[in-house]
Amino acid sequence: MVLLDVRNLQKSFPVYGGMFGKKTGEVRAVDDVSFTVEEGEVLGFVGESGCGKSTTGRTMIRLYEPTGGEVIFDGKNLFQLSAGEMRKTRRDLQMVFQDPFASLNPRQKIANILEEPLIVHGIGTAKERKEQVQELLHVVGLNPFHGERYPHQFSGGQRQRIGIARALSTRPKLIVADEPVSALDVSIQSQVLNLMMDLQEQFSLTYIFISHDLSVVKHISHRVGVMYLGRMIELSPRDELYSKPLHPYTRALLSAVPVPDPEAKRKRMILKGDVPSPEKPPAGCAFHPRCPHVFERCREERPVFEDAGGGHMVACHLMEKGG
Amino acid sequence: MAQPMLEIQQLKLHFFTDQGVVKAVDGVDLTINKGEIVGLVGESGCGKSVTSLSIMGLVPQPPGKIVNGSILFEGKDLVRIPSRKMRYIRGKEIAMIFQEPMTSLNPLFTIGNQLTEAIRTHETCSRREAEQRSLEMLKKVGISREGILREYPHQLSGGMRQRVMIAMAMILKPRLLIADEPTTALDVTIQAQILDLMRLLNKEFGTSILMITHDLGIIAELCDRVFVMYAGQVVEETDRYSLYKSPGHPYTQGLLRSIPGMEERQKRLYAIPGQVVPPHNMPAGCRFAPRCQDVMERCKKEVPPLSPVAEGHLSRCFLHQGGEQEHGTA
Repeated sequence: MVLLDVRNLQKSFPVYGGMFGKKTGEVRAVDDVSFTVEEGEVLGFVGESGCGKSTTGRTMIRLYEPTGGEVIFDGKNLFQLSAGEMRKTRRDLQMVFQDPFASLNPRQKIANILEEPLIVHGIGTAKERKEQVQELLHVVGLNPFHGERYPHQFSGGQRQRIGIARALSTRPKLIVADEPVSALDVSIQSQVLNLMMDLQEQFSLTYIFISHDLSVVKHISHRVGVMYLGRMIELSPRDELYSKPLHPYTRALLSAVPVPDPEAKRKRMILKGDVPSPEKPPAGCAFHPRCPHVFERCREERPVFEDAGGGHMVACHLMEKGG
Repeated sequence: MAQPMLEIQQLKLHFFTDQGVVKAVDGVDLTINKGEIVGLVGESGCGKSVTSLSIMGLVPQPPGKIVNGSILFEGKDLVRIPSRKMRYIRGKEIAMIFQEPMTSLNPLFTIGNQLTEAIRTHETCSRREAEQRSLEMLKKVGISREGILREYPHQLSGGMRQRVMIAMAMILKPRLLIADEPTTALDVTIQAQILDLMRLLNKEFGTSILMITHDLGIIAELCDRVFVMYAGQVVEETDRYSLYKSPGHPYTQGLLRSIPGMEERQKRLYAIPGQVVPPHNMPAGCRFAPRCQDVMERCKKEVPPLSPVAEGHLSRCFLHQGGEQEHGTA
């Protein structure tokens, strides 16, 4: 069953400048992005900084007000809900953030941090809430006495466990995890990834997992979407994407990841130049100035994001050219 | 036979803080040969950055203090050298690049200013000549745009800034380049460009490189030899092939097995249990003992020595000495 259906999502941020701080332009952070997520699925988003993956995750659940498009979640059109209805729906939509140091209030005890979402949503009596906090601590692998401590008394990995426990507290259907393991060391990162996968099974959760780390996304996702300059350029089942990437950018991205095997033989594609500014995205295909296979059409016409067979979506003119 | 260019011997650098003594570097031996790329890998807080800073004499003292050991660079002991002489070596013979290029470049000066300053601090040459050399070096690192010398750091992208940092470090053709997580703040496609560039500079100028990173993928692609650090000590030293094929120390094995993306989704990742020990409360025996799966009684009492497991391959673990048996059986 489709839990989330995102259609033509758009988000622009105004750019102010000049002497009187007039609006001088806008950044199209998310430019016409569409995808669906099945219940119980993990959909990974990868891309480099500024590609719009985080903004997509946040706009989708209305942490940012969208500029256009629509999002159907569990049968409801999120962008048409009133503020009150939206607040109620947020029970089912939770988020885990990257920086476990910045996302927990340093003045609150862990037990209070975990209880707050329950109070906000009016779940249970005071006694039931206390019990639930204890249970949450238990499921993420912390001890009951940890509830009486403050965030600074925990390591990065433990804080991320607390962030996950907080997201779980309202028993959500969908969790958007934005770079949840990027700030952690490898040995701690694997502990948190295992925890997230266990919880997904235990509570039949659906994840949108955003990361710049292609190996982490490969490990946890069922399907993976690749973003470049605000656009989704490829989306496919994970094995297919990593073994047969179709878009030239995806190929370059995959070949750029250092492999921890000195004997691995592979061809490296080194892209020239930097990602262009999203304020002035190139005409046609956003990737054309760096693409090794660029041809005339790419400079003029934006390629359509469509199925290249077997649910492997890609936006590239080469697909049609090659037949 | 390879010639050692830098030899760190039994280096101990401790920080004396109000909470107690933090043994950030505790008996590190490390050698870098001429023209070699050496990797230093470990997780946050393992002492890899402090080791590199102590080579450059950049650890603030106090609270830091080198309590033991020597750092021999081409025969000179950098620990005991007068600071005036150290200033000559720093930049000219040993250069360093850091993780965040924005904080290492001065935002108030142009790129040209900062590059020519590096030259004119160490050599007598005219401004014009210094600018000419700067432009050549920038071209080598892949920046050839007009007027770059008159631009400010904020006008450049992250990858470009790191190139400028590398140009600045390489402009005096140092014999050793220390790179402390130079690509951690960059995207993978830009990282690939920078790693390529470092390989090229190593070939072209014969510069030795000490690459400090937490990424085992970078080590595999770039380094000839590798040192693995854990809690202030080197726990393994080997060439890059045996590091991945036959890692000796349980910590190295655990690290390699925790890397995601190698196996099927359904499988759980291997995770090293527990966390790194707090720095002012080190265990008496092996530092890794509290997290080690193969821990023995002996590991809790004695610190294992770095001992050979194969030719050119050292590991700090009692397992290589026949487990519970007495010393000297290795």
